[in-house]
Amino acid sequence: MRHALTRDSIDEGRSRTTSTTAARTTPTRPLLLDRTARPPGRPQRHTDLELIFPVVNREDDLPSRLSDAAFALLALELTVSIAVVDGGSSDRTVEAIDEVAAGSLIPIRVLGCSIPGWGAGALRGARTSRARWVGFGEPDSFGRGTVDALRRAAHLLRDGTHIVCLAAEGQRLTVMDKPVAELLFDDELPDGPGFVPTLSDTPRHAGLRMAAHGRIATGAPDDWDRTLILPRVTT
Amino acid sequence: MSGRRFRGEPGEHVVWLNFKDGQHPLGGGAEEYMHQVTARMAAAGQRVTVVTSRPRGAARTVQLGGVTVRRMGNAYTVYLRALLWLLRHRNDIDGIVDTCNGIPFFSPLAVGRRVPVVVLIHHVHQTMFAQHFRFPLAQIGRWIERVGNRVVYGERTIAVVSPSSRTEVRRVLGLRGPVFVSANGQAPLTVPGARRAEAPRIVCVGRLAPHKRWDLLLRAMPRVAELIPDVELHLLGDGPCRAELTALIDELGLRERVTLHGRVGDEQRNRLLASGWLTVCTSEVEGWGLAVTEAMSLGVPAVVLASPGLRDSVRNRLTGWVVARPAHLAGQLTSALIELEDPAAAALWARRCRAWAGRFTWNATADRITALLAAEDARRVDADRRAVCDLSTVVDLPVRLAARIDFTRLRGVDQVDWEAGDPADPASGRVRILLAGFDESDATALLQRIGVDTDPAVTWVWLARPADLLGWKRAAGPRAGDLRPFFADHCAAPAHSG
Repeated sequence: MRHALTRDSIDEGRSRTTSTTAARTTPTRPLLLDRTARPPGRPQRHTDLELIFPVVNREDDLPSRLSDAAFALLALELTVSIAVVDGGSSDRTVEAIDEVAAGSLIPIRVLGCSIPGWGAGALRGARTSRARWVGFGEPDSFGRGTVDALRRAAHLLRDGTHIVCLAAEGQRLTVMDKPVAELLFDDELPDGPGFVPTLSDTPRHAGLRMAAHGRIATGAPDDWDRTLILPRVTT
Repeated sequence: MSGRRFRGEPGEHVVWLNFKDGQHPLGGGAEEYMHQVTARMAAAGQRVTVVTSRPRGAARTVQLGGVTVRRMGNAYTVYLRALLWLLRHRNDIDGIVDTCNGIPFFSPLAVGRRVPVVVLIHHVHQTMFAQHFRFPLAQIGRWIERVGNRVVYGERTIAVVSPSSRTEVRRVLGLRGPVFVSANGQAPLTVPGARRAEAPRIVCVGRLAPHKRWDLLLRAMPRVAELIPDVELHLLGDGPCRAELTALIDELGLRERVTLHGRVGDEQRNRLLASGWLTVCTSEVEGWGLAVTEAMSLGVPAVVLASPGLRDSVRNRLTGWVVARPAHLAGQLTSALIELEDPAAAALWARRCRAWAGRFTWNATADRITALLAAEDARRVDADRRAVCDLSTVVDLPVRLAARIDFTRLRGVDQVDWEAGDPADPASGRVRILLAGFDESDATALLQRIGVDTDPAVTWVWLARPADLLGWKRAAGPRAGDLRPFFADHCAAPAHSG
């Protein structure tokens, strides 16, 4: 009933590969094409910012949104990459991301997270990131305002702020130093895009500085950018 | 909770519920699946009973290939009668495969938690209820499939035949249990002395039924012929649309170019198929796309529309071309035929197609179903507390490392596959393991626990894509004790020492 474990059975592929000299020198690769190829490893390049998008079952809308986001991020004067964390899709989300990644100028990687929840996906993305800063959110409605806000966030992070919560044009992104993300998520997982971490007044969180930056309308003819320094919570 | 009942060992009694059997006038792919798998289970020493409906004039009980087929009731009453039969024999049953052809048998109502039940779903029938029944039967059928399934089967294991079916089971039916792909097998086709036709030839096999949308292919042919004047199309099969398609052929002026063969014998069908440069399937819905994989086993690549099932059976740009929209069909057919004009390119395509189609065997399907039943039984006795997750991870490692793995320590839902290495160096072969429900981090942790080198230069770990869920040779788990010595033996001695 089961696949026969004979010498012939393991040599099935070989009988097909030995027909040419070329096949003999590289015997495993050509036939492995009948299964998906191993995705390329991540390049060892320096990345300033990696945006992490935890998703589940987004086959239909994710490709276009991801392409838009990748295109918009080209305008950012930083080395940027995107990590999509699949939280257990039963559809072709991963395949769709692969197709976008193949044509994107911004590196896009995909990884899985078997633990349910947006926060677990965010943590997995942060732990596997090699970037200096990591941003968490949704790949929806990436526009010029988002890129401007990310530029501003990078400025704040360079100036010593550790966490910047953005809310430009309805976009909800939280950007922070990668080690800070790991530290915070070890204490409490974020609950969704646009989260504002709770910085308790404890030695573990001592010295962490957090800012909220957004674009608000107050009846004036033009919107303006504003940065608020968020208070620390006393526990 | 009672102890283990099913381990996939000889003497255990498996009941397979399906509302038709192979001798039913309407028997089709699901029945072929059932008979192929149950015959192999019986050959392995298990007692197998198929419970099915009884068409007029059919015997109540027959023996088919070591399998007892018990027929009872008609297409509607079989469900109730099968439940009563299960209730009477529940102490004598060790495992149940409950096929859901729109309406499942609800076997847990008869056997409770004392017997492992695997639900087998070939495809979701929600749209078909509306096509075949009127109000209120259609609504009742849809409700039973959607809500009844969810309530009665709870978190029991579900087997589906393709990743597309898995998507539907989650998206449309909302079932909560773990879903595993157990693809159709197929007998390898061979045509001695077959040669492909001199002229660019498209050969298609399938019923001339509305959902097959052969009209799309016919309407694309004039545009294909603009660049490839000697292109020809052969359609093999019959059905209700024959007259309509004949009229369309006349209307498009394709009489010289298109031949409707009707139903032909297997030998002629295979010979014609093997002479084709290309096969095409324009179907809107297919459970799997058997006609396509059969063509591939003869080395013929396929052009298909991106419909469920077909997207699984064809690997885009490796064993064929998946076309997103019907409007792109003519362009894709033309470029494919131009590419296949080069005999070397055609040979490469043929080789890839044969390799892909060769992965789908009934032995592997039977092994998978047996392993899923055993795994469900293990879950029944000792519940798996992990959240159900549809992720899977592929681990690709050298055969020398695989020879250190005790595959019985993996779960029955995991799968194993292997590829030959350099003939001069058998140890260069690679082994792949599909770990169901695991992400890359879980997989790496597991490898470290079982003492396997996880250096990325040696062992590769990545998230499985839909195509990775198909075509595995063996199930892991308690029944896979022979894999370790097999790989060790493969490392130790040259395969072609003689």
